[in-house]
Amino acid sequence: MTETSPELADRRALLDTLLVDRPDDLLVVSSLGTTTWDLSSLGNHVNNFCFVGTMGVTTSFAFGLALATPKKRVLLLVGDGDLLMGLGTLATISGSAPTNLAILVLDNGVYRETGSQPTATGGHRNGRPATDLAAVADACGIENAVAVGPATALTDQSIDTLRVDLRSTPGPVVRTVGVTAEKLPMAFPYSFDGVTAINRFRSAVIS
Amino acid sequence: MTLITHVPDGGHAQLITRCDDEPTMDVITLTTEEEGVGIVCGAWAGGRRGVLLMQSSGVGNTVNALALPNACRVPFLSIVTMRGEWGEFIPWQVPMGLAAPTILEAMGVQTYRVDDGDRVGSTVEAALAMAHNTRGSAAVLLSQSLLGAKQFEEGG
Repeated sequence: MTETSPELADRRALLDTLLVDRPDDLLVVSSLGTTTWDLSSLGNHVNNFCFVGTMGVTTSFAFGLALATPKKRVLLLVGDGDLLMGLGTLATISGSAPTNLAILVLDNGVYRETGSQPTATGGHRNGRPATDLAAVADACGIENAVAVGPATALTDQSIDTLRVDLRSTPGPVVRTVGVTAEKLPMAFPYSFDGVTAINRFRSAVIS
Repeated sequence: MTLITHVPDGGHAQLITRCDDEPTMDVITLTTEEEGVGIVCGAWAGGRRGVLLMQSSGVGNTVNALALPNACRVPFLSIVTMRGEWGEFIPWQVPMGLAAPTILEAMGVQTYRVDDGDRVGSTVEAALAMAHNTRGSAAVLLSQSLLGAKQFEEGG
């Protein structure tokens, strides 16, 4: 199949496709704002941990989780704004290169929650080139880092490949995908109370 | 405790070397101290204990990140080597040396100051126990008088 999938302009359809029939050993961490709302819209899976604060720390949390759970797969869903706030973490991750960590950057090019001001990946008013997060990851020493392009251009085949890369290709794996900044209906995570949220997640992880 | 995260400081150098030499330890060199907060919290969520080693100037880099162990009541331990408080040569170390304990406490981190070398081990043990037994955040501050002020000499 080489048909493109225009319906994947909807970020949530893309995530749904990537997480379909998710295995029990897949742990998913999401960054605050749009990414957490999008993941939560698919249901509050017990193996999800959704950030609703501490921007810029999400990637290091997922890295620590991966170091603690070598028999599980950790998938970080991170927005471009959140990753940009902790870019150095890509260099830190490269130093120990956990094979069980995959990072999917949902790159909408804006700070959606605060009024869609452009991020460094979204281009600059003066025409200066936008930051390429896959290239940054590669330059940090994460060899398997690829910009897969806009979600609207993904084919069924490339989505299947992306799913495999995120779930089982030896990591660290980084993929960036361009997504729309369209406002979708708000969906809340399991709990905004951090203790309630992490207790449920941790119990599932270490059981 | 098998996970050590650090932005290196001279006061931690021997500890870092000893951990590097211990095959059961993962030693992670950070680009900034806030990463250590995230890594230690993520590791705990996965059932593993970690610690953040940093210098007092690094405390300022952790502030917003410390909301994570605070809001989620994740057991969190840091060992902080103090600068800017005892025989300091570099004036730029003084502001964070003065502010570090206040900043930590403002973010809900209990601080344990050590001035006596004989008390380092027992204080770290107590702080670690507090952090994990009560699911709180704790920091052991190793004073500059204990560590000795770093010496600078032009041409040296």
